[in-house]
Amino acid sequence: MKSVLKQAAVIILPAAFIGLLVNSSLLFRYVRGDFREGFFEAGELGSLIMIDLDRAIDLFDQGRAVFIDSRSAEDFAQGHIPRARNIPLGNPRREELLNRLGLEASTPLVVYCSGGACLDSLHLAQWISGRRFFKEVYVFSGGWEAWTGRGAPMETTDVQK
Amino acid sequence: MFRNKYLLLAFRLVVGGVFIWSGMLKVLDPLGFAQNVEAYELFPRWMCLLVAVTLPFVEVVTGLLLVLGLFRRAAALIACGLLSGFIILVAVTMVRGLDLSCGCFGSFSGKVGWPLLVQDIVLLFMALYVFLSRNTFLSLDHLRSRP
Repeated sequence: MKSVLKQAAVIILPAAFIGLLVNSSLLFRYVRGDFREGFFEAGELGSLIMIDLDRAIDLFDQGRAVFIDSRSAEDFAQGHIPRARNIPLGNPRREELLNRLGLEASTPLVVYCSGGACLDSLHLAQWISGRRFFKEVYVFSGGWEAWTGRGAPMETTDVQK
Repeated sequence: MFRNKYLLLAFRLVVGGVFIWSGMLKVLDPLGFAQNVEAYELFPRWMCLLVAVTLPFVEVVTGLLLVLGLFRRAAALIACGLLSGFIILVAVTMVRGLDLSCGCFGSFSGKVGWPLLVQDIVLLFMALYVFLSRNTFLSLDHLRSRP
């Protein structure tokens, strides 16, 4: 058993060291003060616009933006922002779901998830921006929690197949 | 018990394959993984980054060793340790009622919940099987142990 533990240490330490070496620039940037707002590349966030509840309601009222719900189909079915479309982040068919929406590049997108510590909206927005060009991709960080907290309108629907 | 060589090989390949796949996705996106670790709200920020840059490499190396069958008991022990940690993390997150994507497979990650917990427990069982077995069927350890 002792030799197995020794071998395990001999595996872990060099592997972790390689990780530190390969990512030394990230560690250096962290020490320098980058990533204060979160672990994002400035370029990645540059194409995304973080918005709060008031701005999300504005965009909803204007009626031009398409809201994209990144939560699971089950959560979506229980309640979502009216007219929102569901593209669960974990769905392997999300590309097909995105294409099915037939969105134009000029359509503003507002991506949201459950809110709080949830990062699915950000990940989905980054994924969408990496796949297709949209002029305006908003991330509504307050998400469903903030929306229902304000008593804004909601609707339920059948689970999308 | 723990003597079926075909089962052992299958478990080695499954656990190793999952570790390689999961680790590679994180190696390719360390900041994305750091975001996931941070979302658990359990670790200080510096530790999130440290975990994000080291853990994926440990996963990939462990996975490769399991698939090759080299130092397979040590690799299986590391896999058991990591999976036990993941199980505790998932369970704690479920008890806290957080709605999180696990971050286990980059942007393919599913939600923290029962399916993930069961998946980790099954993988832990497989890794334990590999650890407890002495069989070196189709492994590089077999060549190492030859006189």
